[in-house]
Amino acid sequence: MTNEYIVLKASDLLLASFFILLAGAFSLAFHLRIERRLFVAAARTVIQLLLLGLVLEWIFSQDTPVPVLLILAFMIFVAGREAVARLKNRYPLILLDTTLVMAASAVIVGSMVTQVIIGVKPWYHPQYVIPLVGMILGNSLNGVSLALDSFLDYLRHRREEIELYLVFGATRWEALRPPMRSAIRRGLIPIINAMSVAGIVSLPGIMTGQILAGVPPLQAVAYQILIMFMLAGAYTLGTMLATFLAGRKLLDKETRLALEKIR
Amino acid sequence: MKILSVGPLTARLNRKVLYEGVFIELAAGECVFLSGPSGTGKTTLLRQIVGLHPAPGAQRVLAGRSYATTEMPLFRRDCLLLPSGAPYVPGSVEENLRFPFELKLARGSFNAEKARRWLSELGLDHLSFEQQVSDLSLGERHRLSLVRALLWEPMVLLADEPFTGLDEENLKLAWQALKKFLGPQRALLIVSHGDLLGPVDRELHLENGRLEEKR
Repeated sequence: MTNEYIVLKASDLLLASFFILLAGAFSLAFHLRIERRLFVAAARTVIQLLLLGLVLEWIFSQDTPVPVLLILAFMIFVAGREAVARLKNRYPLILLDTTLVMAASAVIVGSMVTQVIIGVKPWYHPQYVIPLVGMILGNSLNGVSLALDSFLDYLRHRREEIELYLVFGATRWEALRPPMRSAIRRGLIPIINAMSVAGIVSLPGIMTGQILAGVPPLQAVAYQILIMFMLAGAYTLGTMLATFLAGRKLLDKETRLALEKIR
Repeated sequence: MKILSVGPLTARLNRKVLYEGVFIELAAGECVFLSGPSGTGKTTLLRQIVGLHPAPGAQRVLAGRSYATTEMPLFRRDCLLLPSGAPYVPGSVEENLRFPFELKLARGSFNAEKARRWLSELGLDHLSFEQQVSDLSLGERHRLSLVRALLWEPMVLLADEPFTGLDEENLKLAWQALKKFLGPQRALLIVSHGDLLGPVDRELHLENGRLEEKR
């Protein structure tokens, strides 16, 4: 057993691009008309990942927390935007709420994992902090987006039910319990699925990566379990906080369902 | 003695004024009928009374106590709106009758025996507690909503089109049940676009933006 990994050279990647060329050839031969989009996507992969690699190489070589914090802030901002990007329904200042949720996920779950569980030294060690927080954000935004979609849809389409609670004197959170429950359930489905089939149907990405990089399988498993639990935390915190913030805006101080705010 | 006084209420629909500066006042023990053609804002008026529709500047006084807009749950508990269309929560007959009693502000607890009695008063003996409400007919759902409201025993009941989908016999039962609900410390406001179905203490009419007392 070695702890080494096989270094990939530029010529190896050139060989790998054979697959893209093959797909392009198929597209031309069968008039699928996706060759343009395929090549643009392939080019974006190369350019974006290359840029990321350069940025990471530079950050890893720095010995101060500032670049790490800057890139985390940037990631939080982008995740906040992405969480609302594909929503059918929105409300005013939703972007502020989702960005806040992403920041909370990154700070609470991220610091728990990197500082308490793994205990990275120095605390901003970019090799750990950036990929871990990146995973937290990527997953949390997925959960938040699903939960908000379900929550806003529920409020819009099942208004009578919510108001039925309100007419009997339900408080804001009593009336919002059913929509919040269904939204949080919806938001947690991906991580519950992922945990249920981990190692059976899918070989989780980080484990694959670590095994390729020469980490012993059991150690890779340990990391994978940690990651799964961390992501479960990120999903839960994200979906709960997002529906809470949305509920506070949409069932207002007068305990009135303010559907006119949803657009 | 006044038991409920709410106003001034003003409502607009697409900038057109539905009604303006309306006051709703109910005396203790009285049954009032509010009529008016469809689209005049009767439902909006009821929703404004309980604050489900914004009513900026409206004062609400119930049994001598005035309620701030931040106290709407408390106000709604005692001034119950029976919404039109008989909305229900997914689940059984019992769950639909019971859920209000599980709220923090509920005054009593769910009484199955009393529920049975009201169901029987409204000709719903054939329903079992376990039956799913989604399987009931519209008329049955309307009567079930009425049972839920009567079981709640509010001070004031605002009933929005409570008789929709009821045949003549059930209509009579519903009317009798509402009358039974009335007491010296209670009041009832029935809203309908249809005809008056029995004797009431007062009649109001909302049309062309004005609320008028009928003589």
